Amino acid sequence: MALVSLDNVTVGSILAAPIEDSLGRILINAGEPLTEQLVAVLKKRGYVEVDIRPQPSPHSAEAMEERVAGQMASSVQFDSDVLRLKQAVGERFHNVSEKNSRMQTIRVMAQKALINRIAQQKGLA
Amino acid sequence: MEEQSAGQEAGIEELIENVSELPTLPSVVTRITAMTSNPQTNAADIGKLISNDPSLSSKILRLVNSAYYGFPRKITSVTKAIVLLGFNKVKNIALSASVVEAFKGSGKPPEFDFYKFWEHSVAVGIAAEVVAKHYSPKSIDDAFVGGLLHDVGKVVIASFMPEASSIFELAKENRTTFSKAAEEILGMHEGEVGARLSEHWNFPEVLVHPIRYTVRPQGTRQMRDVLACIHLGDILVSALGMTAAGDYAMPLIDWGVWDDLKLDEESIEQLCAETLVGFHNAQAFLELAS
Repeated sequence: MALVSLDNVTVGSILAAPIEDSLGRILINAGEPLTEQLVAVLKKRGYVEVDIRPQPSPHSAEAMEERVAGQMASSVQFDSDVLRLKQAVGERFHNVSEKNSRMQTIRVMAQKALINRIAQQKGLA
Repeated sequence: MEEQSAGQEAGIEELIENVSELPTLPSVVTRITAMTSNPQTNAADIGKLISNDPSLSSKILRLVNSAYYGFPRKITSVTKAIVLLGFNKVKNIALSASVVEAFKGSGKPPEFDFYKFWEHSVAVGIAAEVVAKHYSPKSIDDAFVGGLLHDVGKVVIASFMPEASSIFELAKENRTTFSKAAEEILGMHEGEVGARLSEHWNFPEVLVHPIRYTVRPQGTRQMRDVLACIHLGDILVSALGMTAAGDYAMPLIDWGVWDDLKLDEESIEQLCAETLVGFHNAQAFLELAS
């Protein structure tokens, strides 16, 4: 979570918390990306800053996973066997620090190879 | 020996000496190893030697005719197999088949799954060969057999040492690797035990060295090519789910190996994909343990 001024926020950033009006009504849900129009509307309404989900470092395991997920069809991403596989891989790597970038690369790429294999076998991709 | 104290060496010797009934390999295997290093040996000589051992012959022919080697026509003689595959490959197959046979029947604690041990070993052999194909083609054969045999120390511990159950229990309780648990209980890891056994069996140094150092490659600067292939193969196979028997955590990659091979996302993904394909075709190797 990070509070960022609307003057400095990057278009496309994801809201970490919902934006509510003075009566507590949700105007924009958490998880929504900020468009140019939304930034302009919020500024007009007097908002000064917003709570933005921090961007993963481009070299982090999280960024790698997002990138890999973005390359897959949704039919693959949400297949139940694939979800179980991701859990199993994550469990195997329980002793590996997030900061160990080399092992995290191995984790994400091994996971990707396994998912591709499932997808091929099921004709999902 | 690099990075090994005199005290540790004495400890290994005592452990090995206290193990009665260390299995012996069939004499045919020792003779094959000797003959393949003699430049005057020809395929017919080795073929004749192996053919006198029907059990070994049938294992070799079953493996040679398997999907893993993918020959279009059935190979019906050991001599033909040697001509097609080469001395080294057939020697390595004979060696590996004999090691599995030597330990198949020995008593082991219930925590030790022999089939899982061999499944992991075959997968590491395949992965190490895949790595070698890309990074060190001259090491392909040594990487394959080194991968198959890299964990042989584990089965010695499981079969012959009274501390075996404690090691498996400690690894499970602490959610750690068998190596770490063995170091805590025995004062050494399985690589050192396996190396000593392979010396007892008169294996060539090119096999003994990786068996000793796969767990800790940073302990040596020798034979880095073969060692890197097997070390990386071991980690990729564990990441892909074919975990080593007694491991409840991932082994960690040696950064020297990562830098030596200049690994990145793309290369890791390719190595994993090719290992999965190779393993899919390796059923005949797995059947050696049945």
